[in-house]
Amino acid sequence: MTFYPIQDYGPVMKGMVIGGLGIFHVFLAQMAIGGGMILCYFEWLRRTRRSPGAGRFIGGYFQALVLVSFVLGAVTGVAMWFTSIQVSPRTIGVLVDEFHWIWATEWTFFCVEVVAGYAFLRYHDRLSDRSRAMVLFFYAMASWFSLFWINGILSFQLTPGNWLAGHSMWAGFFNPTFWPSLFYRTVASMAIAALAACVVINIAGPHERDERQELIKRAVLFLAPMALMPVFGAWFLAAMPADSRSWAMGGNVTMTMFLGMGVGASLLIGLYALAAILRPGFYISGYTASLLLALAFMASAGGEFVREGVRKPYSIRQVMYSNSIKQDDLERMRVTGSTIDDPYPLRDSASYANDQLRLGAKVYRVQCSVCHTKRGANGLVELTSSWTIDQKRMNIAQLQRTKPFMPPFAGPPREVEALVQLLGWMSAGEPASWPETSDPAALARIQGWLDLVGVTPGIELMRTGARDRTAAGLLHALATSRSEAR
Amino acid sequence: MDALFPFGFPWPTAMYLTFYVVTAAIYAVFMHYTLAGALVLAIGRLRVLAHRRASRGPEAETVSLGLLEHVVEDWLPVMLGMAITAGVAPLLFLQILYKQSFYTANLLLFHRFMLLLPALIVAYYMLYLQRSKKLHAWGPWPRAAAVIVVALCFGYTAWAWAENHLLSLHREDWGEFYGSGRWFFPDSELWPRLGYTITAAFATFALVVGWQLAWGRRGHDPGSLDLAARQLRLLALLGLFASAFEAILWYLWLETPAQAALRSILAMPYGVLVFLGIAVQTACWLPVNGGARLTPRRLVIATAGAVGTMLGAVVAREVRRLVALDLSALEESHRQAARVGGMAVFLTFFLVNALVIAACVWIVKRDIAPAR
Ligand code: HEC
Ligand code: HEM
Repeated sequence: MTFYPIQDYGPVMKGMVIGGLGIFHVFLAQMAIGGGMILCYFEWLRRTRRSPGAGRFIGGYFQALVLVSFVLGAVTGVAMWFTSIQVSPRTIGVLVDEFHWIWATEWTFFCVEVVAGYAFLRYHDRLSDRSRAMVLFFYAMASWFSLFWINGILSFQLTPGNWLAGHSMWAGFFNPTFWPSLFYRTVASMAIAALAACVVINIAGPHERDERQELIKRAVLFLAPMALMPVFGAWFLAAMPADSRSWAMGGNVTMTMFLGMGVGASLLIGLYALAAILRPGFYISGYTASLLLALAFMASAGGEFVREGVRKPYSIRQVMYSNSIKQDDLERMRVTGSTIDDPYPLRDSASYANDQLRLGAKVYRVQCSVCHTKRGANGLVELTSSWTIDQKRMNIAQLQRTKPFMPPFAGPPREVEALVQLLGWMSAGEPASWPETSDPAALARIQGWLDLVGVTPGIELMRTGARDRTAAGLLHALATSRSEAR
Repeated sequence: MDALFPFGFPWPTAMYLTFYVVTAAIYAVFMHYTLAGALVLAIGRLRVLAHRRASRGPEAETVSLGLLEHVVEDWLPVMLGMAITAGVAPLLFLQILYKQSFYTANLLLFHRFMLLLPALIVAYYMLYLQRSKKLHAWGPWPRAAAVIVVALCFGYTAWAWAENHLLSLHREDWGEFYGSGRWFFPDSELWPRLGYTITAAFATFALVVGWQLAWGRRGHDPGSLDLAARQLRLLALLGLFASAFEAILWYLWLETPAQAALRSILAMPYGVLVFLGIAVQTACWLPVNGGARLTPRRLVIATAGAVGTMLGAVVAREVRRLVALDLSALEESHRQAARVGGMAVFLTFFLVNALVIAACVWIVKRDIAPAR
């Protein structure tokens, strides 16, 4: 296994960093994608003289599109890449190995997008009608296709589907959530672009209100496909693994909240759009449009958090856990330990009272730090503060049963014990001296707990009903899941 | 390593190396333009400031940028967009080729490296700002400041990439670097490396602007065109001589194994190509004493020379990296990567989209032609 240096973000969780950036990027990218479509439509209105103000709007909107979403979208895209490396180099490594030709293909579309985009921006008022339409079409087509390609990789992480059977790249690409996710994102892009268009029409559109109103009436049409969102959303949820679905639908408070935020914000936008379309002579002011755009941002945020969250405990389902440990390596690591090959020292090595605590700190770094801090957001010291020492031993040894969205513990009893000691030492206020423990009976108990759950993923245990904490219930569940596996 | 690059490697390694080298060379054209362009523009703005101080009175108002700076100012945001986009492809192949060392350097430098992204965003908006009418009304100072910020941002970006590259080569330092929590990786090779990039950037830049001026010839006033052509010649020659010097310096800086590899059949022909290209470009630029000399024929020959220099330099740089890394482990991982599907789709769309791009350029050129 290749070891990478792991950053300590102090009290901030890594997931927050990538989540936060991801939202920005997705929102900007979707604005650009929907923007391409809406511009094609307005160009058609202009050419066919159906809308007198369309020409002026196109120039202004494209300028805004380029200024905001084009470069910012590209840079945040590169930033996503760098951040993914920061969070899990092993995950991105697997994805690059598996999908590099897809990414390379996507890149050829980026190139079209930039060239066509700048060609339109600089020369649109000097091009013939036909040429304008053509260049704009190239731009719109390329930006939608960039969604098409990346969507396959993102949805693969949640539902690798038939890829698991024979590692066929295309099976992984056209995975079970590929289509619902693509359709959903397309509709979301159109909605975001429509709202952005309403903002631009108010700021940089024609001076006469009826001309602006005319344009807004057209732009709002791009909100209409939102009516299909529930369908695509339901399809997506149906194609998701049952456990992931259950996190989002009540199983996990945070994720349910984010889903609620996404659905709620979309619903508000949808209702407003419906009212707007039905009422004759309606108008959306710049202020309202900005507010709606902010709501759309919240909807995207909710969606992205759920997408990142429901993969737990995996970064690539059934292949790699969120802490970058491969499912297939667990069995071996239960014997060898998780830190044995780690060449990176602890930065704060001197501050620990003994070597066992140092081992505990390394175990934490390798296995837990991607989702937990020591003290802070989802902090381990706080989470375990009320537990007795044996509860800590048991619950950490049986990590996947403690919470099914955690991976199984990937080490022998001495690593569990080292981590338990670390947490004890920290909650005792980090005294300068702390005894090392090596009670064989305790280690044997830990081994027993480790063996009881084995390396079966928690979601598997959950599926077979092993949430009850008795050994008998657990054994029963294990027996069922094993016989099912056969 | 006893065959010409990339032929001595197993085919998956050779293939990814080829893709990397070709896409990196394309990217470098745009990167060179932004880097040198920002410096040229910054100097231009400072010159305007100096002139105004020297010649107060009504005349001061008329001091402004020359044609060269105007073209650069106009195109810099576009070129930055292109550099960012073009950079994605080598970034991808880099990860297949050198996964562990690239990721580790990224992780170790962390915010130091990632800061280049906000820096690029700042640079991009500064480029728009410095052209805005509002800023214009405030006089020349804020605009000069804006362009200097842009140049600093690009300089920082170049430094971050070079430092990241060097750290990725020094596996023996990783553990200590991490443990100490240091921010900087001071390796003296940084200087000839960056020195080469920055000086070579001016030669590439001069050539691209040469093409831009030649294409737009009829729209420009002949006097300004002559001046701009002579300025380009100066920049090109300075860049060519200085980069030849930096290339030799860089070579001397390297340790013996790397030097030996560069002298071997693996890289030697590419090294020769670098200097041959420099010679061809020098010969093309020397007689350029006015706009009329920027003929397509001259520019085509200079471009051929520049392609040679660029490819040669990118390959030589790669050989220096290959010497530092454990090739046998890499070759196995390349073999694994080469098993996955999708290459045919990539090659197809590479071709199709290259045609689409060509169509875009052709359409625009055709439509704006009568306006000249
Ligand atoms: C995939 C991400 C992930 C990883 C990896 C992970 N956890 Fe967790 N863990 C969570 C989440 C999410 C919670 C829920 C927190 C909550 O309910 O507020 C949690 C909860 C806990 C709790 C509290 C459980 C309870 O019942 O209150 C403990 C203790 C814990 N984790 C310990 C660990 C340890 C020790 C490791 C490393 C060996 C680890 N976790 C690795 C995600 C993870
Ligand atoms: C204008 C902004 C930029 C400048 C001035 C710049 C400068 C540089 C320089 C000087 C190098 C050479 C480093 C060395 O070999 O020592 C380099 C390499 C590279 N750059 Fe950029 N860069 C810029 C933006 C970008 C962006 C946005 C990307 C990504 C999309 C990118 C991708 C790359 C890649 C992949 C390499 C090769 C790295 C390696 O082989 O180790 N660059 N850049």
